[in-house]
Amino acid sequence: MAVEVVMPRLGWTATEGVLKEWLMPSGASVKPGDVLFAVEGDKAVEEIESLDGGILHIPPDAPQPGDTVPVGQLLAYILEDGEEPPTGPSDRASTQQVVIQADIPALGAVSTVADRSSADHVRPAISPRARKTALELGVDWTGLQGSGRTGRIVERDIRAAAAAHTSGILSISPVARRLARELGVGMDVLAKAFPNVRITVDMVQQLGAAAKPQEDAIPFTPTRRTIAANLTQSLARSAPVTLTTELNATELVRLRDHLKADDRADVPTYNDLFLKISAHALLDHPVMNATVLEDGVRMNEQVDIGLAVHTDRGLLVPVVRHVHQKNLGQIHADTTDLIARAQTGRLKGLDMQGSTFTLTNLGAMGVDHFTPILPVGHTAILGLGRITVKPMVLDEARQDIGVGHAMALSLVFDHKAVDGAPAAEFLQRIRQFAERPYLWLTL
Amino acid sequence: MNASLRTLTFTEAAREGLAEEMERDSSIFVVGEGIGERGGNFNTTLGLFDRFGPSRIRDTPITERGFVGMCTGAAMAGARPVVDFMFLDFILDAFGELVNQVAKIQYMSSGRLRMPMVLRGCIGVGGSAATHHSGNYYPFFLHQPGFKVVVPSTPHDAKGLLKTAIRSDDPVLFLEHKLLLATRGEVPSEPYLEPLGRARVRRSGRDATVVAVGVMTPKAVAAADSLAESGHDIEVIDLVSIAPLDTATILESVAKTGRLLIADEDYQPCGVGAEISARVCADGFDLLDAPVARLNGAYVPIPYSPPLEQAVVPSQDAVVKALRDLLAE
Repeated sequence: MAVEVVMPRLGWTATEGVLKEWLMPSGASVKPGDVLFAVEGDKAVEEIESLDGGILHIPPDAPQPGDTVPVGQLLAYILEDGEEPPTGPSDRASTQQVVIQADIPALGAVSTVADRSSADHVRPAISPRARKTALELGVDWTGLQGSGRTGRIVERDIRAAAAAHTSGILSISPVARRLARELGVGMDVLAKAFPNVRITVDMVQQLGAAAKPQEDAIPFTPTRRTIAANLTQSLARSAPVTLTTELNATELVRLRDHLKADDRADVPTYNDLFLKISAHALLDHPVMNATVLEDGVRMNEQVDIGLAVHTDRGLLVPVVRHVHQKNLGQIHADTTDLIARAQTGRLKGLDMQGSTFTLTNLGAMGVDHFTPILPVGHTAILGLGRITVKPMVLDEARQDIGVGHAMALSLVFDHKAVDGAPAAEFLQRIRQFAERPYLWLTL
Repeated sequence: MNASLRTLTFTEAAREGLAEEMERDSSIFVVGEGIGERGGNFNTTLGLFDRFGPSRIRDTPITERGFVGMCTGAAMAGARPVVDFMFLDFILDAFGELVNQVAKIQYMSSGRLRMPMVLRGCIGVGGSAATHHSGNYYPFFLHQPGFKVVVPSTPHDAKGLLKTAIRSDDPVLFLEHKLLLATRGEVPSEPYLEPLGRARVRRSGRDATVVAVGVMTPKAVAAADSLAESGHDIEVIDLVSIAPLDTATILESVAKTGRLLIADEDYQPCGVGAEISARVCADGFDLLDAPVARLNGAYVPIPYSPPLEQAVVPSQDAVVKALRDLLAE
């Protein structure tokens, strides 16, 4: 029976993907595990492998490389030997079996494929002239499909992309257009940062400082550009509100001291402890774990928490999966691995997709409170501040004053999705878990 | 017809230029095999023996190294010899003299001696001249410092460049493709000079640049005309000067088109196209929208057989195909 090959969903918020290239020709004999095609996601190109064996058939009217394709749309069939390709409407039931990696990150089987993908195929080939033109026009070429004979991006592709992005903007005021030209802000950059709205002077100025080409400016790396575009898009789409609190972290500090004293090799970090605490607090307040969509929210049953890691290449946010089902030791093993791979550039695109909540920690650098920007689609992000020894009320009932460990917390949430009171209750729950770790001992 | 313009063949125009210069300057003389009373195998001196006599239109025995050596001495002493090799292939027998003395004598004498010598000969594949009479050889002289090399493709340039070559104090190779000798073109009746070292834009275009060497120029122009019918706008540069290379004109064109094909009948390895490609990659890397392409003759000894001879040189259709491939890159 013909098996459908469809556009997979790369990441929770993905509704479409760019079919980058076929890595197998139509008519090829494929085995399970063979890499079929490449799809471009936010930060990386993923190579998608087949779960089935047979003859790959790419219908002539199927999406072409370079097309942006809705998730789930038919791309090709895998046929049995001699089998005719189906002509009727697609059978979506069989579809799900072929959509591969994105939703099953726990499977380790895809790693070799993905490693190769991130090493070799992240950046398409581009002619020197096209690269120069892209710089002049402010076109981000890393996601383009080239029209050159070998798929190389050539000048005409850059000019077409610039024109397409320009026409993709619903409207832009003449003043804003002139300012954009003066500041060197490309129409494509504006269109990406502020989709489907009228572009105003304010928006241009917001991007202007970063985009302005100056003699002494250090150009953004592709990773940096992705970070910038994501954060700007987040600010344009969310209504962030920040709540801060200070808690008594004495028991947490004591917990780690006891574990250290026990000669444990792997003492969980504060990040690990707050991953655990956040996961159980999110189970108690599932609205904070939701994904914010264009006109609604989607509740997530799994708690997958992104952990912000500072690297030479910029901020990377690998995701710790199913935190609510893991004990501290497992969480610590996960974060140790993810942080090491983030620092050495070995994270795959998949490792950074699909978080439902994010943790970011500036405490080690002496910061108390801050207002992190929500990742696109997140309801909330928790910022960990520093732990300081200071005088405090240890027991309110007995008015007992002494010395303890105080810790600052900042919670940013999207007011579009949730009101202040439930967010405050969530932060309160985190505070309780942190001040009294035995509360989650049995969880 | 415009009174000042006439139509001459390539050979007639060059011969007229030679005669004008010989008339102007009595220190100019020509040596070569069969260039006396016979007027030259390729009619390069037809009628000049009667006009200038045997001391200035001088037949030689088949001794290339000998007569090049004598001309070297004459040039050092202030005369302006024109060595007519007939087939340029015969220059190989004078190669030591040329490379070690002609090219270096100005340097060795700290500029006290000049080397006003013209080395002319017919090059290229055509007319079943066979393997010993079909060479191009110009990359040798691009490689070696001390020579200037011109390969004109029109009667106008043939006359203007030969006159300038004769007046130059440096050794200049003036190379005429056999298949261009009968080409007719407009030539002014008034005397004129064409500068050495300059390429010519023969056809303006925006989509791709062809740099054509000598006989490939008319093929490239015809190929560009045929591609224009399918909407492609090709710029054709007639290289004309092989040494020095007019890199500036090529870069200016590539800045416009982003795509470069070098069409040259001569062999590809270490050829003129290799040098142009390297210079464009070095000085115009950011101008390139596609890899530099080269179209050359087959890397084989040139056959006698007419059909085989046709097969080893790039045709107009081959230029069209190379351009289509380049545009698709």
